[in-house]
Amino acid sequence: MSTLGTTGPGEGAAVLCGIGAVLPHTAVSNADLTARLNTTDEWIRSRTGIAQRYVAGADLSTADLAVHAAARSLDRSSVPVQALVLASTTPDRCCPATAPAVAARLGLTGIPAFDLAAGCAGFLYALAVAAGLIADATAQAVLVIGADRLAALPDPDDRTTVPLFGDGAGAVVLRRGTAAEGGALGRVLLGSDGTHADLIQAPHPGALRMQGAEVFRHAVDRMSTVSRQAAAAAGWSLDDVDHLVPHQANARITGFTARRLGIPDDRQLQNVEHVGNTGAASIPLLLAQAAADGRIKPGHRLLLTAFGAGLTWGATTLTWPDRP
Amino acid sequence: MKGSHLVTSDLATILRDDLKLPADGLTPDASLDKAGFDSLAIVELAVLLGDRFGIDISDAEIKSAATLHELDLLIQRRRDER
Repeated sequence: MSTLGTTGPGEGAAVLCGIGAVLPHTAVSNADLTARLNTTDEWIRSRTGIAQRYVAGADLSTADLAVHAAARSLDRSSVPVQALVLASTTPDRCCPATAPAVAARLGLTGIPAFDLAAGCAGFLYALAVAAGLIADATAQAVLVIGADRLAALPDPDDRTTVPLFGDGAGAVVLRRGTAAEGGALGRVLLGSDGTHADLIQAPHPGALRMQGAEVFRHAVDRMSTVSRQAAAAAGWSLDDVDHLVPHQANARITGFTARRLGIPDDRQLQNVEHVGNTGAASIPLLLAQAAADGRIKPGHRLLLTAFGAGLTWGATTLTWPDRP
Repeated sequence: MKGSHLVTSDLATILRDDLKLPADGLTPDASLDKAGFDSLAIVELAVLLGDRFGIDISDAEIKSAATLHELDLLIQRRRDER
């Protein structure tokens, strides 16, 4: 078990200056699932808050999703990036990593590009790595992508896990800036505990096993604790937070975590109802959607937190920029 | 005797306001199932009892309560032991 604090928010702070996200075209409703699984719409909604998820067909790879999301974030940022970090639990193959192929397709051949696996906390881990590359001046700007095809992980006949997962990708561009400007990322606090690796595990796609009750307990404990620490590191009280942006695992988990932090429902961003759990894509996808529909406004103070297989977890703060 | 007791207000508040269980099902003689508990609600209650009252009650102990009244007694006993 460990908790690691990464870069400080002073000189060489990482500043968000572009965001993009993408979902596959095919929406799968609860009704679509109840046709083949022994479950009901009410059962799925009451336990997860999920009504539909998007699922990639065989013709849409993790790299494809990553490229589409990244291209949008690059268009919006218009700064050259010198590194690419791809957070994913579902790379297209064991070897080579997916990131170099994504970089090449984006016209970024030559820059360092690598995959990072930290379950559903992967995007926060990737933000920490990117902020470090910026802080030590290895890169002036870094492309951070979270892309997953989690719908491929459950046993297709498992009614308890199939409804949870969807596919998607989200990406942000971080550039070197100052802690005082809009878009500045706070310290990224991370942790892991491999003694509970068995709580969420998939030896191979189609074989996911999850111990729901224990996952709930650990998720709520870890996310509420690390969120308090991240807010404190930024000098914020939880009352200062305009929106909690939790990894969209399950509405029961995120709702419980928010209540434990004393953050009311209307200050908690959610999209799990429409997209399910999209793994490393979850937080950037939620940020992109909430910025587009006006729930997030420039200057808003955001508290991002995630928890996933590993176990892994993390949290950070982010002040929303003017026009990412 | 079952049914002649009221569920204490502490437990009723948690079940109604935190777990969002329907208020009209929260009678002392109701089983957890009948009151609307699902598997996650058991864990949610266990975590809340730790947060609010500093008591440690396992999921299995909660599940073993035949009625809300029995659950209430279990919680009161554990709080008295502190």
